[in-house]
Amino acid sequence: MNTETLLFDDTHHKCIMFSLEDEEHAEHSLSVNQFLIIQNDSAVLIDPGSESIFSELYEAISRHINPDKIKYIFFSHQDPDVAGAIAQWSVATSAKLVISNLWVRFMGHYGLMDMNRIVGLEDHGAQISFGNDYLRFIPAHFLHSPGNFSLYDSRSKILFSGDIGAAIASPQNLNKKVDDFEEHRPFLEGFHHRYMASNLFCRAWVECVRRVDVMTIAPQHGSLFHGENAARFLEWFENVEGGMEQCKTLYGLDKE
Amino acid sequence: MADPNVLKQLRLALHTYTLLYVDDNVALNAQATTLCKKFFGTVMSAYDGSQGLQMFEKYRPQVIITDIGMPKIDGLRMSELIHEIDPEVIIIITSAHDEPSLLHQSIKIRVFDYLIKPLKIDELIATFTRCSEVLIESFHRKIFNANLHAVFNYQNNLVFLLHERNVVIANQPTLDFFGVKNIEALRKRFQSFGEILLEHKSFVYDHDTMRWFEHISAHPGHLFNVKIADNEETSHHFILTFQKIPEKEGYSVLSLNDVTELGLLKIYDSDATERESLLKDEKTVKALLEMAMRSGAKIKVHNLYKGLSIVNDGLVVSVDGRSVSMKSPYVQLKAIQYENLFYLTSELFPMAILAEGIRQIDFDSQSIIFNHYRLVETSPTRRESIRVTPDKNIQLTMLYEDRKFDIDMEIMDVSMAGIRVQVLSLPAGFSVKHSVILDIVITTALRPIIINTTAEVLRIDEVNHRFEVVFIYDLRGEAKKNMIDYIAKRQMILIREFKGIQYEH
Repeated sequence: MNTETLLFDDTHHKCIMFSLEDEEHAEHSLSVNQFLIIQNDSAVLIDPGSESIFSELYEAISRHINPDKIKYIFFSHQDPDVAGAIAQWSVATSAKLVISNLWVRFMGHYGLMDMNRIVGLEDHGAQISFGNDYLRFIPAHFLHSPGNFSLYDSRSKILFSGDIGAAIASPQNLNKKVDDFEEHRPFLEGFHHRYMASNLFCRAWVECVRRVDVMTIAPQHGSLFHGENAARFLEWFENVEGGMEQCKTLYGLDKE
Repeated sequence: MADPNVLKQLRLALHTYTLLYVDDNVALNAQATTLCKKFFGTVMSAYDGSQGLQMFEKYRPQVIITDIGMPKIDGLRMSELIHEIDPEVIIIITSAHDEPSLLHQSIKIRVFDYLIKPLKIDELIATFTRCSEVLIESFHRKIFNANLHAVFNYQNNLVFLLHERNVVIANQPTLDFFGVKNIEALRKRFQSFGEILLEHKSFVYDHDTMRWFEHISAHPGHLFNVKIADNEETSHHFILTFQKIPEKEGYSVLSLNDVTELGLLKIYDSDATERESLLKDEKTVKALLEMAMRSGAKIKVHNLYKGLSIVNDGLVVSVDGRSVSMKSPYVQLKAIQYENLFYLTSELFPMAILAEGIRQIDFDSQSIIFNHYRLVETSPTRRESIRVTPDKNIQLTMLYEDRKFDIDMEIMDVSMAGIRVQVLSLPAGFSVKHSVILDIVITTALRPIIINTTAEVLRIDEVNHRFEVVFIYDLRGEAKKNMIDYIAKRQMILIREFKGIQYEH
């Protein structure tokens, strides 16, 4: 399987996707994606995954840029497949680690006591400008993590959506690209229904996302949505019913 | 014959003065007057005591030479009357009689000299020489008295006239030094003069076994060292003297001579001087901390635990006198308790602040009170890469000029950029910028991991009779990954170890 995909390149600005990990999920496997944005001589690493892929990812990044040039490492949320190698990355680079403020106090558990290295994101998000371009941290709380962000790159128009849009074992995982949303949809449903907290948050997130010009949605698991498929995904996602909507079922109260 | 130079000098000294010669012997009077004119600018004659008295009252000569036996009023009586008018006038008695009773009488009325007639030139010159000395001294005293105010105000010494312990008057330099506008303000300041005298080894200041005023007033005329800060908080070294004014009960003069420029403070008490420079620094830092408090700015609190950086936010809550109260999370307070100091950084601060003098750590309210702080140019807050104190599973050997260096090297800390070791001795010629080969062996449960790298000697220091050497290297490939792995894991172990430290609070 191809473990490296170039998502965008205009010579000054590059977005690369690495797919170095697979997770077992029930009877299916769930591919895990890591992303690197390079602009000129600096880089931002997104959701670099667990400790087990650290070395491999470090080496893969080194083929594109000296890892010392990574200025920020963004963790969409606190899950181990996202933030499991915080200790390694904090040693290997001098990058600032960007994560929801909600998880800052847990950093000691991940192997980092130096809060000077952490940029804790406020709930409403943040924006980092570089030239005419910017990176926007879009709130995605409770989708699924209570302290969760998606990252929008204005230059490539890619939305790095974290767990939102994750697909479990879609055949389209293989080429990392959703060709037909309707065919892909069944592989989204199970995960989103169970993991997303409520439709309320889905709608809020879609509203925020629609404020920016999104060309591609790149989830941390599964395949990417381009153009029309991205729009189709947003339409679908704003109608997703999550945990709150099926609360009684989840708690077994519907059978009483 | 008298030395011509002496005569010339005498003429110069006396030519501005007036002499009155009183003798009823006209010829002798004329002869003596002629002689005296060689020295005095003006010489007048009188021929009896009454005329002599009148002429004195009219012309106020500074020197009078008089015979004793004269009509109307004799020379001794005239002298008595003149001294009643001006006791400073120099009166010289001449007499043909060497009679002890006349001499005694002359002494009684405090005549300057008693010469036997006929006058001998040498004796006269000797008397005039003494005369000139007295006159010059008197002249200077008069200038001094006439200009005392100016003398008082235009000397550099600080001078106080005291009555008991209160300031009656002080000179202008004193007012300037203390930055007060008038004596009244100085009086108020002086009431707590004991507090103004700063602590300095072997100096005079108020402490358990000494009260300054009792001490100096018990030793009038002695010299004492004192240290006083001026209005800009710069310390000055003064020599203090205390003199009681004779016949004026309770009055005294306190004088302070500024000898700061001699740079002796440090010799007396280097610790105090050091403390003082810290204190001066503290004023700046205090202003920065107050600024942080007013702006509610979050500042970073830095500590180290075995090389591991522990950093959290801090918030200055209050600055009261020298005491600063700050809030910081539990884990940071624990690190502070471990190190008994901490560093503060902020965009507000020009450099890191080292805070010591921890007065209180309150884990319940997550707050800390400290009262010593200063700016520091170098601090662990500037570390670019994570450094850890290693465990026993890492060993180092060095190859220098292709030869293995056999002395044990103790690794103090290790990072991705370099390694710091202590060693008892070093190979001959070993110095900074030299290149070495390092073999770092990490023992793991599975197999030993060997990191082989060239390195450069960055620094060599002597610490406790051992050499401390910092090597820097540029690890690549597997070596880099292995080192990242070791440091990240070691970091995790140190975090667990740190969290396990239990304090009683």
